[in-house]
Amino acid sequence: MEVLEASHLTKLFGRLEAIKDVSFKVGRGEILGIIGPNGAGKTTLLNVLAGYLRCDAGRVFFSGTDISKVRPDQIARLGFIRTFQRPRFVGELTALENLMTVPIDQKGESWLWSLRKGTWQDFENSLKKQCDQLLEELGLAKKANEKCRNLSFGEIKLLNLGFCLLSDAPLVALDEPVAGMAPHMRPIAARILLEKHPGRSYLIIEHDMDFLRKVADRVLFISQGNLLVEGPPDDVLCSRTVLEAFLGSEESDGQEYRVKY
Amino acid sequence: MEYWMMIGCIFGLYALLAISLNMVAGEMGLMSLCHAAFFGMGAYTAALLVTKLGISPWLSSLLSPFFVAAMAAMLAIPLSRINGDFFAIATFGLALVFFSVILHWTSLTGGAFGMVVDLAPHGTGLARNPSKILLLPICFIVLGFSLITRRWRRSPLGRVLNTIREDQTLAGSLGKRVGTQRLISFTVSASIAGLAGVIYLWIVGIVDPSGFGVMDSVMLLAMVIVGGAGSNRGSIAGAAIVVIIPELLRSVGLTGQAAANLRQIIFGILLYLVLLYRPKGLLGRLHVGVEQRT
Repeated sequence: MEVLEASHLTKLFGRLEAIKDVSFKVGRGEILGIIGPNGAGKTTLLNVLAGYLRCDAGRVFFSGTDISKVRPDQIARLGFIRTFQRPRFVGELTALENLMTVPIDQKGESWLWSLRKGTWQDFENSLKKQCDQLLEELGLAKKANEKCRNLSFGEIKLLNLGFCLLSDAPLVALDEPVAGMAPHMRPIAARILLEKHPGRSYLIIEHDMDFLRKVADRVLFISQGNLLVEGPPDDVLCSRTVLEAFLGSEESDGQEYRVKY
Repeated sequence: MEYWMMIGCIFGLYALLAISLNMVAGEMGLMSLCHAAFFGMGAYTAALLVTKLGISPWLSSLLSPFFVAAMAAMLAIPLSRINGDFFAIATFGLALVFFSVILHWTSLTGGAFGMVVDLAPHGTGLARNPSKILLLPICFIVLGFSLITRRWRRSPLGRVLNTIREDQTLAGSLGKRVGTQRLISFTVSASIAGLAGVIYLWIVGIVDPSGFGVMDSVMLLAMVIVGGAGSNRGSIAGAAIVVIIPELLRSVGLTGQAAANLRQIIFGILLYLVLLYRPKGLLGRLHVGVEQRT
């Protein structure tokens, strides 16, 4: 069964059709890339899927449940989490504490149990170990006890990726996970994404085509709210529609940004 | 001596109010302007339960904070989606409504003259000199709630509240129940204020609308800001300043209306200076009030 199924989604902003009758599926363990020019409706699509925007027509099913009218936090609790294009963080907390906030329904998060330290201390300690290790893998070990407001954009981006890696949600949507990230950090992101949680499904919006070629099983091309092309990354990226609508011409395929994975 | 015990009790009450307001204004970054209303609601509820329903003073004192909690929980539902300046405006409105009710519903509340309520049995030490007997319990209550709120702050719950404070969208995206946590925090904070109201009634033996108006809520918020949000020490320091200023004025021979006005002016200037030079307050950890990231 599919993890996520979008059926005939339409989203209007006034008279502007941001998404027009888009249908697709994400299989279990599949990594699905979404590409398209700026303003194509990629982030809007993600916002509709994850409950941040209410769609005007169509349905979204997550593991068979209709989630088109469910609140974002409830969708996250069901096991579909996302990151944001502009990474989010708690500046007042350290990188480690930011990560440790991720697991849902920790015992120490209850107003009553939090008063009895003994009931959550063990979990807290093991969580701390786990997060320290994750920060190590992300190359952020040195910043563990640094307040997040002092971290660079790329480091915050990695930390947001860390949120997803720490969570055990079966479906994760990433909105431009490596955009704005320093080129040498991108391979780290790609490697970790592929290695951790092998059975998990991903939905990845990204402009970095090399990144997508490396990680995605299948790619959707969206332009002006329409789902135009769908298929394996190399086929989609080389299709005529995509080259014309998105890249302009073959030569402008962002040579200067190309990173070796 | 009795006088200083009274001052001590008042200081304890202010500290309790500041600590509880800090849960909302400091930890959650929500500028609540109706905290004095919950303080008054606690006092009035206890007074009315005794005078109108004839319930025993001890039981009334116990019930009153729970009634305040129930009211706060009801009000928290419409407030749970409002942030920033709008939250301040909405709670400002609630404070006005509460003040109008206690001032104008004369048949119930005694209007501007208020009600005289003898909670303690006649002839006992508690009736003759309440501040002497209540000073120690008040200290314990303040200490107790300081420890409890500190534990909350330093537990995983504190992390969640901090996340909600800075970025509700992030908190929601991680599956945290933003609305519920805000509701609980607002309710607990209000019921502690209600408890302070009950204690106030025990000490003073009279309730009238002065002390529970919008300006009093502003004063409480100013205490948290000057003392420093996000820390109990800050809240207690803010309370201390509010209590000490009139005493300093008295020591230079100023009393009555002039002192009351001067107190507000001095505190206003202090607030201004703190916001200008030390926006986190004297002992604070956080700014009061935050703008949610969009």
